[in-house]
Amino acid sequence: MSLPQTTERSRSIRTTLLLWLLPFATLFMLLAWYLHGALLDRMSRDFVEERLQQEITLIEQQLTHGGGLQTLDSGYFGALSHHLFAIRFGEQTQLSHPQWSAMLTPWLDLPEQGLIELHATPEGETSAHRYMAWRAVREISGTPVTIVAAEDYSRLQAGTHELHLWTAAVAIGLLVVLFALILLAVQLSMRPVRQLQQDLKALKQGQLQRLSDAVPQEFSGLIAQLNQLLDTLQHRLQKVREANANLSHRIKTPIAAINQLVSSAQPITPEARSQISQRLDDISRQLDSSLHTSQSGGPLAGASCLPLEQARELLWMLGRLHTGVEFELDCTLPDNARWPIDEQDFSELLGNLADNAGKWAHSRVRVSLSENAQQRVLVVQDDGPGVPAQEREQLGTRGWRLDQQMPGHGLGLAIVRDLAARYQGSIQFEASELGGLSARLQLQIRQG
Amino acid sequence: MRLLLVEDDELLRSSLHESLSQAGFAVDATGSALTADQLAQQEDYRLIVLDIGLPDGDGLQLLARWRDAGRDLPILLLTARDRWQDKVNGLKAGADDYLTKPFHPEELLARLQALLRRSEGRSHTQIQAGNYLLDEERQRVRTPSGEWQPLTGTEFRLLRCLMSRPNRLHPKEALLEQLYNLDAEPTLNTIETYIRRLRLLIGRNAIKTQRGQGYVFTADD
Repeated sequence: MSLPQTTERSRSIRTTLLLWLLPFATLFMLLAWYLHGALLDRMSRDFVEERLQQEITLIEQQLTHGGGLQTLDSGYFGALSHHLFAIRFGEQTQLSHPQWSAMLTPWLDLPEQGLIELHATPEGETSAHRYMAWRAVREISGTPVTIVAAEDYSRLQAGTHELHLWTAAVAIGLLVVLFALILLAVQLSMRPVRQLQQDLKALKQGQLQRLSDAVPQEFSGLIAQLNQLLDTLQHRLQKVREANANLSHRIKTPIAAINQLVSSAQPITPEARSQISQRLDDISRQLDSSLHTSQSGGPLAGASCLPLEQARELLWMLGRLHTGVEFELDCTLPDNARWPIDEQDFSELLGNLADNAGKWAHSRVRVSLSENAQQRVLVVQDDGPGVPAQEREQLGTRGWRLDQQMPGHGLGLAIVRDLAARYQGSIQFEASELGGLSARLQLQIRQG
Repeated sequence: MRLLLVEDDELLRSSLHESLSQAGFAVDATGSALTADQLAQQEDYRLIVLDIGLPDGDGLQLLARWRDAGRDLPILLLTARDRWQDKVNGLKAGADDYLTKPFHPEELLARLQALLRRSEGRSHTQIQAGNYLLDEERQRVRTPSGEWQPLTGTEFRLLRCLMSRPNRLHPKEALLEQLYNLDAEPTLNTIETYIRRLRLLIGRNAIKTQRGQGYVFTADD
């Protein structure tokens, strides 16, 4: 037996899982990280904006109730040193950080009001800072007032940036953990497969007869099927061995007898010759019977035939051999219908029934193929002499040969009975409406 | 009556040679496919007995080649293979009869006589319609692709009816008569089933449907 060609190896489950899950997980993490950054930024902006507004309200109150700019001395601003202020009250200007007046003073004359984003370099520093400022223009006791409150946003950003980086680190850590978990999960779920591998090896070496069915639910169907296959093979092997033993027992005796006759010194008399011929016929019949039994495929998974196509060819062939008999096919099956019967077994079933009908028919044999939801039916009828009702039961059983008087081997109906039993089918012989015998073979359709 | 016997088993060949000669045949016997091929082409035989399994060639191929070359004499196959599919293949290749080993010489003789009787009475009629050829003796049809399709009884009768008068309308009711061998009351539905099956065998376009009237076999294709 030649090994089937190895198909291209597909990827391992582990690789497939990683290839699918990792890019998605990474993408998801990146998205979450980006969102986190955006949210963080918005939160700190909102926070700064609110604080600046509060400061300005405070300063307004001071200016209104305190009665002048002088209340806002450096001591007042000292408490709020992380904020920058510039206030113009009438003609007077007050700065929280007088040393940065070159930067702060122009802010009082900006056109916008409300929240402004500014980039400027305070004196004494080299790089530009980013500032969030709130500019308010009011009138207090008839005096025009401009207040600018600002916060160094760069410093705040540096803080959130660090937090954001930490988040990235955690995300990468999570990815690594996910990777490890996938590997672990695959490893764990593959354990039964490795067990199965070992079982199969043990089976091959003959240490096991069947596979253990203590497997997870996902595998129980597979194991059950494998075990069924093993049982079938075992059963078949046993049958073949028995058949071979029987066969050798049955044909060795006639061979010994013939040998004895042929090798004796006496000339072969006509009686001896006819005995030899009879023994040889016996041997041939035994061989035929044994061959037919061992050739049958039986109901194995995957076996199927095209009943219509096969029936057409068989009936055409039988029509050529039995001249004068017309073989008609009456088939209600769809053209491409398949039956779960081994091709050769179907040929044996139909061939033997139709051939037998052809031997006895006067002029017509009719074969009908049909199926319904419960069963598949094959009926073979002829217009021959028929068989008396009391003898029909015995057709095809051992010790009774229908076609003893016709040439050819007398096995046909016995083979049909044997095969029908293998497929859990039943065969009935009745009187045909054509006048002869009708053989009706019914095969139950197994549900599910 | 000249007969060619092709059988590679020497013992079987010589004993068959003897019994066939006794039965009145002028027998040429060989065990090689090559010699058999040469003999069949040079000599004029009335019958050939051919073993399928030959050491230097496949008997079935030899048979198919002879038939393709138009050799129309009766040929009986001898073989040890007794599966039904082997018989189908043998007859599809063009054999007239099939005998599985082991057999009794009387049986072979009886079959050969029957073959001779059949071949004497046969008028080998064939119906040609366009590129289609209906072989009445073997009950099969050759499609334009050169392939022979075996036909069952009703298929054959329907197609013979259609091909005998190509390009003419055949009403469904007239075709119904060809179904007499089936159920007591064949229906128009049965006709449609058979026409569909015939179309699958010989191609879609050969048989045209005339809506509500019947069918036409279109020869020129």
